[in-house]
Amino acid sequence: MEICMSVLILLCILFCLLVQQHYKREMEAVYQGLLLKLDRAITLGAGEVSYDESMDAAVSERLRRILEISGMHKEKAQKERDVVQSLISDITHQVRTPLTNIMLYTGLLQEKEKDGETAVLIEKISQASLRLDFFMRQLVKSSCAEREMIALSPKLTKAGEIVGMACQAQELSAMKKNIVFVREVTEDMCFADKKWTIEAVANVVENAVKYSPENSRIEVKTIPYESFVLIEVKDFGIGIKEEERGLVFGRFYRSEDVKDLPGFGIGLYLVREIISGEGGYVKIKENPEGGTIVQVYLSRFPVSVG
Amino acid sequence: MSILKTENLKKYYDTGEVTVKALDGVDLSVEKGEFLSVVGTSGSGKSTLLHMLGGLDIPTSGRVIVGGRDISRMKKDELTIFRRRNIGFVFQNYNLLPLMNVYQNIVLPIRLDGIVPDKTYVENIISILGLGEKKYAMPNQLSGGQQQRVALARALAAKPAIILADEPTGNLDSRTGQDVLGLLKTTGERFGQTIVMITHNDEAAQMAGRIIRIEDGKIREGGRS
Repeated sequence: MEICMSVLILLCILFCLLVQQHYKREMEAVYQGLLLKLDRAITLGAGEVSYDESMDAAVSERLRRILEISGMHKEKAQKERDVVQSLISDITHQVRTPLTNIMLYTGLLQEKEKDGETAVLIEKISQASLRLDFFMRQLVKSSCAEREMIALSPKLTKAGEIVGMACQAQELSAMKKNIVFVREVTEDMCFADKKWTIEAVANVVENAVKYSPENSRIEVKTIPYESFVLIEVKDFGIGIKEEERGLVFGRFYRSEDVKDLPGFGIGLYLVREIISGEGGYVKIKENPEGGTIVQVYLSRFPVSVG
Repeated sequence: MSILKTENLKKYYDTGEVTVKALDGVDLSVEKGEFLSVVGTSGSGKSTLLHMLGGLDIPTSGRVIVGGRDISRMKKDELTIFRRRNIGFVFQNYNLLPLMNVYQNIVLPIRLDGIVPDKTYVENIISILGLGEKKYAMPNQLSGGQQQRVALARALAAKPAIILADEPTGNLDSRTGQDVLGLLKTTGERFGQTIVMITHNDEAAQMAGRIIRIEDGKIREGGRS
């Protein structure tokens, strides 16, 4: 009798343990599934939701709603930024016309009065209006230097095309200093937003022109790597000191060496924001023959942007 | 929030006659999402430091804190599991299992934990690393650079707290090495991964956001790049 009881109790305990183990495993599976959903939501967005009555569906639905709400906040912030940006765009546009007129008329005045005190005064007005023009342009540039402001939609693009357009944008300023572009492009494709990447590379070329002496050359090449395509801009100009090479990407950073040259320090910051946003990266090296080499690496494979 | 910290870390080897001070009081702090490189010549202590950070060895004194947990005092079994779940490794010689294909190698650490791999996430990594066409190839059919990319995919797949890379480009030519470093950097950024890379190559080190120099077991410089 007693043995029966003990065996029964033992069996009961065993049964309880088995049930407990079973539920423990079930719980772990549920948590695992939840973790998976959360991970996926973080990296890729809410995903498919099944509309049935299960707990799983309820959780998925809540998750989707949370993402939606945070998406809405993001959208609202983006809208506000868009308003500011179009305001800046409008103002700079409006300022353009009177400014162009000022420069035109001072030019005409300079034709009439070539010497004397009046000529000196006209020259001062001309200089001031040129600076105003420059500031306006920088204002537009810096107003869209944040990654959130930059809506990238990269596609497979020919790297050579990007190089071509970027150099074209700087053709005039290069000609003024009698600087020649030596181009060597390949047929490689890269994953990039054409409009923004051209802007980025044009910025790099602009710097190269700005900091190069007259009658020099700038070499622009595309070089294929296994996972990246490199767009390299090599100049033979004043170069960047080693300790500053990492700092030049900073927003508004300008080296002491160039304080007499125009510029706001926005260019390279923007370049890095654009290129990183496309899954690429930027490197700066010293040109052993004097000058700077800026390397823009663009991914060969599609990368999800986010 | 620092995801990795060492406090007065010391590793001394007592060879009887002389005490070798491989690490002599190292205080380090790494923020989440940072890409840090530790540069030093051979014998500087950088490999020892990496072994400490990865829980591959126990310090003589001092603490190593990963994700808020002190791993310098963990028991071996606990440490093995912790390491598998929280630390990804990329070694100089890839260390892929020769009898498994690329995909199996990548998901191995995850499966060892009894977890079902997140297929979408793994496929995403494979695509970003350009391994889509090589998914079922065997390691001996791949070039050095491709093998290292598989090793990187394996490290990323488990979504570890940190990735420790030990001379990841050591066995690669400079062009392939640059390629792999580029991927390390861009995938790190994309997945918000924290990366600590040790190297003796200054140029490789420049890829990181912060460079630390180690010499004779002590940190000499902790500059920003």
